[in-house]
Amino acid sequence: MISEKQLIKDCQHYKKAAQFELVKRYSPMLMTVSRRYAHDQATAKDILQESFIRIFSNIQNFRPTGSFEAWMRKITVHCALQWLKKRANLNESIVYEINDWHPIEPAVFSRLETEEIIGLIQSLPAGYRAVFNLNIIEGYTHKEISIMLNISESASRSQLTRARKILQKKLNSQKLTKETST
Amino acid sequence: MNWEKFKNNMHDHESQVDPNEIWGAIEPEVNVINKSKKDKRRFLLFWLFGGLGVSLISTLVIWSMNTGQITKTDQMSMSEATNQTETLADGEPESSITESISEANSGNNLNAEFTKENDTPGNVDTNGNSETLATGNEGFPVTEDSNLKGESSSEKTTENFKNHSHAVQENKVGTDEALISLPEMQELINEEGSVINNSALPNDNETIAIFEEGQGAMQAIYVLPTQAISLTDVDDRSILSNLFDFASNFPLPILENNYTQKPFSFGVSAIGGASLVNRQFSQKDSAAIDLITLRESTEKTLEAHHYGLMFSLKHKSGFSLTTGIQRTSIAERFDYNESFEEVITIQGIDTLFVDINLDTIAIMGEIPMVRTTTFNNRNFNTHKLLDIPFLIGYERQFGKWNLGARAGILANLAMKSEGRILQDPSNILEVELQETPIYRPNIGLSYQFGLHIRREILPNLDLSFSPMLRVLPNDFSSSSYNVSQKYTLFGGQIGLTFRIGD
Repeated sequence: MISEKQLIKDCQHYKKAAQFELVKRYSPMLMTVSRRYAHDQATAKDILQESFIRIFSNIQNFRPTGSFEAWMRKITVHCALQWLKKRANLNESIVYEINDWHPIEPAVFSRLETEEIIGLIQSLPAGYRAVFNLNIIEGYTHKEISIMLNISESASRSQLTRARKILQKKLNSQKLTKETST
Repeated sequence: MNWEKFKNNMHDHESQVDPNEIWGAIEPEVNVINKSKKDKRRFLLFWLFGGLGVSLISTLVIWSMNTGQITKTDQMSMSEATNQTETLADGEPESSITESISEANSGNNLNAEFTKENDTPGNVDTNGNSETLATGNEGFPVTEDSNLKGESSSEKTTENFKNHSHAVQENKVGTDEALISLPEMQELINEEGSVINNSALPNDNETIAIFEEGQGAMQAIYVLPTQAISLTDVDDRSILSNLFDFASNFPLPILENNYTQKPFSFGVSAIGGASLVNRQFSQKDSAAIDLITLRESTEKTLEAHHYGLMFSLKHKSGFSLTTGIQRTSIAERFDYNESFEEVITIQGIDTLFVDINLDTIAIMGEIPMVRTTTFNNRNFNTHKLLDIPFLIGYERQFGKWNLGARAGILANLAMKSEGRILQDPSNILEVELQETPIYRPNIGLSYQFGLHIRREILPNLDLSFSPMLRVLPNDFSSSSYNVSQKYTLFGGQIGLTFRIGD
């Protein structure tokens, strides 16, 4: 199998076979990223396609000092956010009551399949979904998220809180359903 | 820890997707990208290699032209010199001279040939006749034939001139300070042979080269060692007078020398500079006025800087043609104070109206409060341009200084814009991430005018400074963006030029 370094080099020379190989190799990983931001499969595919186009357009700018996967993941996140900004209201349902939040037990995640969790994340409202992904999975701070999504920092915090609450409810009900079925 | 595990699970997870389907959807666009990028690369390579090729060919042509001319002139002159020397000597020429000339005619290193002769130290007999070939510091040969007492020739002449080498070694021919033209000499010496003004003559330990204009070039007709002919000595005045008479009346061999400027010279320069930036916004449609106001209040132009590699071809008339590759970066600052309000509720004492007389009572309850937060969003935006300049210049030499002007066009190969701008008061755009580009990838032609001040700091190495004005008349923004954006840069650049063929 062709090495990642060679693959990048060939893609930087705009070799079509290498570009196709790159799509084949990294589609599943990047699809997970785009699915976390999109509310359905079709949108996730759109984001993924846009991401690949942007990857091929900008691959000359990639410096091998960093991780290629992280670079592609970042582009996919940016594409997803672009899509969200255009099609979704990120300021929807800003929540002010932050005192009634009870911390979610993260261990519950390990009892569920990743696919199920992605499904739950997809069911979140667009703004919550974006903030949750950016903060919990990508590791951005609220300040960074506020700039990326053009929302206030407190809105980012409150949306994350709300997202966690919704996820908690859904996870509990899912867990309950599972326990009932078993 | 668990969150970390959750995050890792998400990172490692691979979703089911059909790569063929994804590839099928993006392939047409990928083809377009590949084609445009390849075209751009070809275009860049074309200009780069084309420029290098033209420069190389120009260098070779100039080099061969200059070399050919010097060789031809020197060889021809040396032949004439040989013949003349033989005539003047009225007999067999001194063997060492003949040998020296023959070697010179072989086209070898002229300096080496004549230094061999000059290396012999000795005293100058100012009362005798002398005849030899001498070379200056610049390596051109001149005939030195001093009939100091009006006698035209003899073997003694040759004998005396063999001892003349020390004056030859001190020869300053080829430098401005030691040159003296025939009319100037006439002004210094009156008809009786007395020196009218000796203050204008070079120092005693230097050699005077007498030149006159001929056939479009300065021609050395005589070289006179001033140490040998002390200007303070009365007798030497008459010697000088005789010498002058001899020089002006007798058909001495005329040698063209390398004081003659070559027709073309070639230069390679590394340049860099900075400019002040003036940006002009204008509206493409009536709705754009608000956007212009918004952007002017949030963006501030900073400076521009540029650097590049230039190749210049200069004619001896002073005209020059310059091209190369130049990268320019225009910087701007985006400052946006974003405010937002949020309503929070706190527990506190509130008042409650209890009747129509607006009587109130105090109660404990939730009190809504508005909290305003402001933060500063600062970014540095840049427009990076890659240009090929084509400049025509003219300059004149004033001693070691060259002053002139340059003007021309800069053809833009590519432009890349990065940063953030406001689209409306609540919408910040990431310039490079827009599907519909805000800025153009290429801005076409721009125009530049500037003065040019150059000074030699080392042989063949010049330092230059150019105050300049660059006008970029084409719109930076794309046709779909409703605000036009143009720039004017005013600044200066310094450069280091390596000259070839001067």
